[in-house]
Amino acid sequence: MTSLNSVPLTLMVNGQAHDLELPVQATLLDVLRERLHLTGTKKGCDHGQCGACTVLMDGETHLSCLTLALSAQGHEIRTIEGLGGPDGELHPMQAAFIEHDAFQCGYCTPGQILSAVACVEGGHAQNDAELRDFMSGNLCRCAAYPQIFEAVKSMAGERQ
Amino acid sequence: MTVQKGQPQNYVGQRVNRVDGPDKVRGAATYAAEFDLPELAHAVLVSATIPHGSIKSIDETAARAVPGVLDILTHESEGIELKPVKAYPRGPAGTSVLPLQSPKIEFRGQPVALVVAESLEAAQHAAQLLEIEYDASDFRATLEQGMNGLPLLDKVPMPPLGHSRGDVGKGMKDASTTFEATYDTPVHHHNPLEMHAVTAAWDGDERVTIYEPTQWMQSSQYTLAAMLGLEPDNVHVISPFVGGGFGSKATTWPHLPTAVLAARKLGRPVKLVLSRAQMFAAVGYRAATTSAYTVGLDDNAQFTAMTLDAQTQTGVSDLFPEQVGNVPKMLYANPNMELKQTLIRTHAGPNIMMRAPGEASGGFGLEVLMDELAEKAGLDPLEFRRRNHAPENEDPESGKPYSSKHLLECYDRAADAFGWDGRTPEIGSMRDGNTLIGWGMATATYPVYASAATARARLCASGHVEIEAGSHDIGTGTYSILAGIAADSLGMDIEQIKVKLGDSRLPKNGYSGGSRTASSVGSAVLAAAMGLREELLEAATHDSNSPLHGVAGQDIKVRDGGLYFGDTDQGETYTAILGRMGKDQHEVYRETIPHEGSQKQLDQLKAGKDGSVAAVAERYARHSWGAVFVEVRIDPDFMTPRVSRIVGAFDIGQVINAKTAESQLTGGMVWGVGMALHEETQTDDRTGLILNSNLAEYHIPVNADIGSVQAIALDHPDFRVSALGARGAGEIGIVGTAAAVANAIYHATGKRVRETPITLDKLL
Repeated sequence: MTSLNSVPLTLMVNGQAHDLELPVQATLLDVLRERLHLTGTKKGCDHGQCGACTVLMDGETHLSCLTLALSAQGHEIRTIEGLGGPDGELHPMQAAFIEHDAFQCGYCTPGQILSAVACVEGGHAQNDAELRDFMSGNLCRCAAYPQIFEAVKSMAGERQ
Repeated sequence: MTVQKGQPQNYVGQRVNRVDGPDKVRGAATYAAEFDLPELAHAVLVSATIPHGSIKSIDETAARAVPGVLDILTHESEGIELKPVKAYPRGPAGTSVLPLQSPKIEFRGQPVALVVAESLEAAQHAAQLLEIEYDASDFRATLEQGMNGLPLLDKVPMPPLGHSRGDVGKGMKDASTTFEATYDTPVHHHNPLEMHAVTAAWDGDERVTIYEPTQWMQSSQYTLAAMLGLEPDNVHVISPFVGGGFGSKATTWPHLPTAVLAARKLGRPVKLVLSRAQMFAAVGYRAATTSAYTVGLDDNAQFTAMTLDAQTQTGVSDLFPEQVGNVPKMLYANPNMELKQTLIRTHAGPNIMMRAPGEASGGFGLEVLMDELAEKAGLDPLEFRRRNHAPENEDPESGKPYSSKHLLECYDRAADAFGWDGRTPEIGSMRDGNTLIGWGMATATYPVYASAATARARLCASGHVEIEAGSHDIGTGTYSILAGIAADSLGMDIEQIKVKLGDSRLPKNGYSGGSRTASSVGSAVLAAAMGLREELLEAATHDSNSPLHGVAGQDIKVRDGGLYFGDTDQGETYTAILGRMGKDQHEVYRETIPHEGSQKQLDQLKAGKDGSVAAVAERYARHSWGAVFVEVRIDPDFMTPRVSRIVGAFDIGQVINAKTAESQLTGGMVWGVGMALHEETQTDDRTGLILNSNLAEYHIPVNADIGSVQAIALDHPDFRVSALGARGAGEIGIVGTAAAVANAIYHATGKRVRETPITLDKLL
């Protein structure tokens, strides 16, 4: 009979430290959603297949469902809740998603936006094919792909 | 919107950003599994690993020993009895199969246990330690096994789904050419990105609140009330945001009562979120179909007769027909038609509607058939369809006139935008370097389902107007559409309108499916907002203290959040009128009966039924129309088809929000690409289990699969369908697109694939 070993750890999420006591197998996704109530990070498959749980760790995209909370310790985690400005103003990518109607049900949207930010900031939107390829880890069942493409492209254009 | 002459149209028909956009991009929209309740316990569902048989034993010892486990519910548990319910369309439930009531298993993935614990991690761990032994029985897991296997389960002819007109025997004799072909579509799973989930919280023994993503709150409300013997009003459903549904969230499924029972037993709230694998079981699917056609054409390449013998899959206990005959029986002029459909029971579980149920699957066969016939007749595929076009004054199915039909304009607009004139008909004749280019097209149609609806409009002292409707936004833009309708009706800024949806205590509305919400609920909101305007106008013109005292109603216009005499400044704001009425709010409630409906639909709605009028109504046959043109690019060495370009033109009545409608249409067309090239639920013949119950192996399109997608919406309001002139945009995009892809692939390669998905093994 196995029991669940809990361990203490500290997670830095959106610039805020959270001291937690967690079962070792807890994923970063479940900790964000169920314990920190940061529900902007979504669970779409729990297997690293859909991208809805995408967060930024030290500026790079990570699938929080495949990331043990333990291994996220010592890293700067940024979720969709931490993307906008301090007074609630939208990040330009968030505004671009609204303007281009780059979502419908909105469930994949936080993950899409964080991937889109990493896509543009990481220079992965140099051409259309590269942009589409980078964004292909984030499934959108409503199939807003043409609109997502336009939204990300508009921001890549801004940057250049 | 021709609501009234002189009506401002700042929003209706325009490209308006989603009003729920800021919440969605911030991650602040609260989906069902995201409500935090005190003392919340976490549940994990355990599903059957056989398709047919019974549970022999359950050993809970190891599972119960996991620290934090609170309870385990199985069919052996006491105090969890449920009363029987009827499955859609006979009742609002997805299935009549009740969970945890007996050891009997009749479909793969049937819920067999619920583990509840203090934490999600503990519940997940304990669920894996539950030891269940089964007595497995022989099974029929697929349409093919059901059709060809021993008669373990019966085949059910469905005469009501049939259709017969004219004299098919004579029509075939009169034909100069006859042709036979069979077209197959596989099982599809809806796979909304948000998993099905439920959080249940009881208040005593008689009242329960459930947070659930649903396209039909009344389904959950009335099904749970019936199962538990509660008053429907004591089941409170909350569902403000739904992370996609596509039909799977239209009706209730067996996991719903399990969490509700656990919450009652434990006396604390319980949350259950299904796993992605469980999204492939017990939340419905699009049934596999096979459609065998025989058709006759005369010398002019016009139909003399058509027969369609369709067999479609269903579950064991419930019969849900995937109505593949819906489109073939009405789309083209043809005097002689015979349609038969037989349902094949399988142990795959209850099937249900999935985006354009019957139209997407049936439209595939018909529109590939049309391509084959065009080639036989030596005609351009578009010209062949024009030649068999059914006129606006006679629906081939019913003989009634159409409410409005601009299909020929769809053909023209889409063909022009696509550049169809540049197509050379010979197979493989269009190339870009080594890459084969194929151009194909298809016709789309989708019926109108219009429901009774109710809504409330309330002017508040702050100056904003609240719109309340117990309806749903499943990504379809309902919040934005209703806000735009109310804003235009009242001459207000859309930001002054607050739309409330997703709560069963709001004015009752029906099922958000069948592309009906915009026209049905939109009509009720229009009535409520116009009613509010009328009552405020009445109050002002009868009040000697109002600048509008004595002014005739028809001379008053709405703008800037108030009422004004013509274009002058003589007038006042709504809040000024409200203030003099001595009220801090004024509200108007309205009920609407759909066109060609009666009080009957409204009564049905209030009794928890969907209360809709059929597409073929008393006076008119009501359908939307479209034409889809597709370009595929295929590497001749690897035969990997890529859809590089799609243009669709759609006649969907009045467009309410051009931006969200376009997204609906392009999303539908991308679904058609997925249907054509990617989507198939694969079942293991030997175990009856699904082989690809995850998003890595159940392929749906990703960003890189999709090139340019253009949706053109014609703008012909259909006031024979709704007061708004709207018909609906949600489903028609998928209809026809899969066939257009298949036809484009044929044009490029000469490979005629009569089944989906068209994977490269079928092209090599």
